[in-house]
Amino acid sequence: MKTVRWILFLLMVLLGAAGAAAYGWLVHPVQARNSQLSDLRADYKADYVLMVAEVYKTDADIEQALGYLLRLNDKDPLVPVRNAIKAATKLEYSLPELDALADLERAVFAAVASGGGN
Amino acid sequence: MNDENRGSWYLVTGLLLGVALGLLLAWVILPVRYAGGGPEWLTKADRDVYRGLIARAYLAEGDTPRSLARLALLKEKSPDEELSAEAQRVLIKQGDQALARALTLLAAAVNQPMLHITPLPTLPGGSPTQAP
Repeated sequence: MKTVRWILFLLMVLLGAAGAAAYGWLVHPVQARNSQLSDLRADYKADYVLMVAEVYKTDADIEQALGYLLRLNDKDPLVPVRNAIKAATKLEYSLPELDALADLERAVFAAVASGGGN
Repeated sequence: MNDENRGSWYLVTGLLLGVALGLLLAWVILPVRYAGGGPEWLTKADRDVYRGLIARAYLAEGDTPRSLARLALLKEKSPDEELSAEAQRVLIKQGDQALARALTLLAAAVNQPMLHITPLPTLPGGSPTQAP
């Protein structure tokens, strides 16, 4: 009898936890500020990469640029730059902005090829 | 008191315990992570990085309206105070004077949107690592 009561008790715990978790995730999720830069929408990422490109144009600090880009993709810093160029083309960025992104892509490619992207 | 006399209260206790654990899991331990959203949902650490990059880009471009528009994406109540506080943190923890200066200038631009700064000069001939 005691074993049955324990099993029923644990079943109720599981039932309550499942129901409450579903409520907390699906019905009433907490509005937490817990996203990361890699979670940003594509257009925000493109603007982020554009800022990196604009800064890079003035200081040529590839290590700093890579540091910023690795926050968008910790495996390959070229991926966010190429994605940003695609998004920027679609969003009709100006020619100087597209040039800045292209310059950044070349610099990141050179740095990655020479082993600076690790 | 024997098992029969205790009734079914243990089931209610189990259910309440489960509800508490479920809410703890969903709201504290593993809250929903919003992907594909805007900068306002970033963690504090990533907001600092984002804010710092806006400030660096502000120095590079000298485009006050654009930098303020970027800053507005963070939807902060007192962006100038956040910028000033980050400038102090950067100076104390990293000693990065260039970034601290950029953050301070952007904080000034928040209070004086008509502020005009001279953008940093673009390096001639591209970067040292640029492909030929």
